[in-house]
Amino acid sequence: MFKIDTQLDDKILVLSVQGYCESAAGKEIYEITKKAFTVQKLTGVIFDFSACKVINSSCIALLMETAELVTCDFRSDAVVCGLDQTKISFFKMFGMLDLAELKDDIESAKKYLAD
Amino acid sequence: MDVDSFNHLPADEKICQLGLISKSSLEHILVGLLSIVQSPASPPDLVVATYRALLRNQNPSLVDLARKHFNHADSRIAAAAIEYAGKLSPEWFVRVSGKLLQKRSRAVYRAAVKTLNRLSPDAAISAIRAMIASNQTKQLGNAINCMIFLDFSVVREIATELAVNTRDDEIFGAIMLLFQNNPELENLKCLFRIEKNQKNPAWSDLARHIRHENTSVLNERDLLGRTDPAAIETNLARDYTISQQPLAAGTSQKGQRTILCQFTDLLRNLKFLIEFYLAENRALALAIPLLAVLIFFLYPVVSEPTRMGTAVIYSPRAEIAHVKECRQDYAIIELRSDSSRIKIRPLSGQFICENLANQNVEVELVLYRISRKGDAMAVCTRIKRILQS
Repeated sequence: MFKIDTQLDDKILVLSVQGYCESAAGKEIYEITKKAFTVQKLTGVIFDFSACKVINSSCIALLMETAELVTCDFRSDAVVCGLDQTKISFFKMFGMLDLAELKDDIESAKKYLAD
Repeated sequence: MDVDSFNHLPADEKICQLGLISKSSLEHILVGLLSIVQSPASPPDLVVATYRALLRNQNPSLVDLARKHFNHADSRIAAAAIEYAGKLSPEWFVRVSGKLLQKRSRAVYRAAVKTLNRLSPDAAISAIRAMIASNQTKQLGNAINCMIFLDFSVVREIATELAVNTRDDEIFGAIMLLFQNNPELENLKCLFRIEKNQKNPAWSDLARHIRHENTSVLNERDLLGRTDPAAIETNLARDYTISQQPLAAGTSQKGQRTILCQFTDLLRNLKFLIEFYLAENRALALAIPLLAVLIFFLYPVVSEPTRMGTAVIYSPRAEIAHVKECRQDYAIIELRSDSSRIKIRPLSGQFICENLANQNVEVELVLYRISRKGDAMAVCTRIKRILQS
């Protein structure tokens, strides 16, 4: 029920998530991110949820683990984009946006990381 | 990498190395990690990364030091130390978890609930219930915040009760967000109940809107089976009407949870409970013998699921009772099953005294505290007057 497209562009990892994100999607996001950092040091990771219908609690908990991995363990930056207002409120409520920067779309997220 | 080369790296480099370090390499730089954790001059990010690396590699070498950091002024260090020491030294964690859950820092209580959930989801649920029982807006917010670490199916019922009883805009909104972002079939009944029990029309509308949104997501995902969404609406209304019909005194409603507590539940939560109560009451000398005596005498009663006495339980239980005294913030009820008296207080809001005084009621309660006098005190999660037929 979900699909994750991965793209590596100039040391920026972009994960575009589609469909319904539950714990399985969260786990996959975590694993992809961890693996990417073991290969090379990245400037940052962008989580794009513009084609994502639902992100449930379990997935947010794992996204937070992933953001902690990126920021605390790999000293890199995490950016989320493509969220609607409900998802923004949900992310804010659990403190996800303390760990990751919020941007409108992939382009502005890339610009933020490049700066 | 040897410890000398590690020690000579700048802090940022050390953090990056720790992010990727393997179990065997970690062993080689333990002395370096020890000095990082011991030195007050170490950058907080580096201390956090150290604890995280130790936890990831399941290395218990610095657990003793981490235990001393659970109260650290920097909440990030405290949280990382709690997660590390809590996972690798569960006995210690259970002992201090009561204190941790009363901390003001979001990072600290989240780390505590997260660790608690790893050790025992039942204990995490109990901790969330205890936060709700405090009935303070801040703690209610904390409780909702911690629900993210548990499967929504296990917190749905608690969230529903809170939504029905709260009068706080933010708390209600936060619960609605939880329902909105966790669209599950079982939500529909809960959202219907929330909608029907709201005096505030705007909240009722919001609950209905989210229920419809949930239905449409479930329909899109083919999770409604062959049921037509319109038929779901009719079924929910029918089930709700049935659930609101008065019960004959002394009987239990069909399909409703009746006696939930088994002795195994008690044992499973006991250790956590003792620690939590002790931290709360600071009545070390009294509480342990009291609990021991309760267990000793109540074992034969509690272990028999058909007859319940006044026991130390931490699961909700349904009872038929008579209200002896009713105030807005508490009531004293006498259980029909064994004539024992319990002081109950509402999960949130207030009792409507004129409706409850001297009435027979059906009540769902969660015992949360043994007072210094040994009286049972409980939070009432649901109370309904039994109409005399």
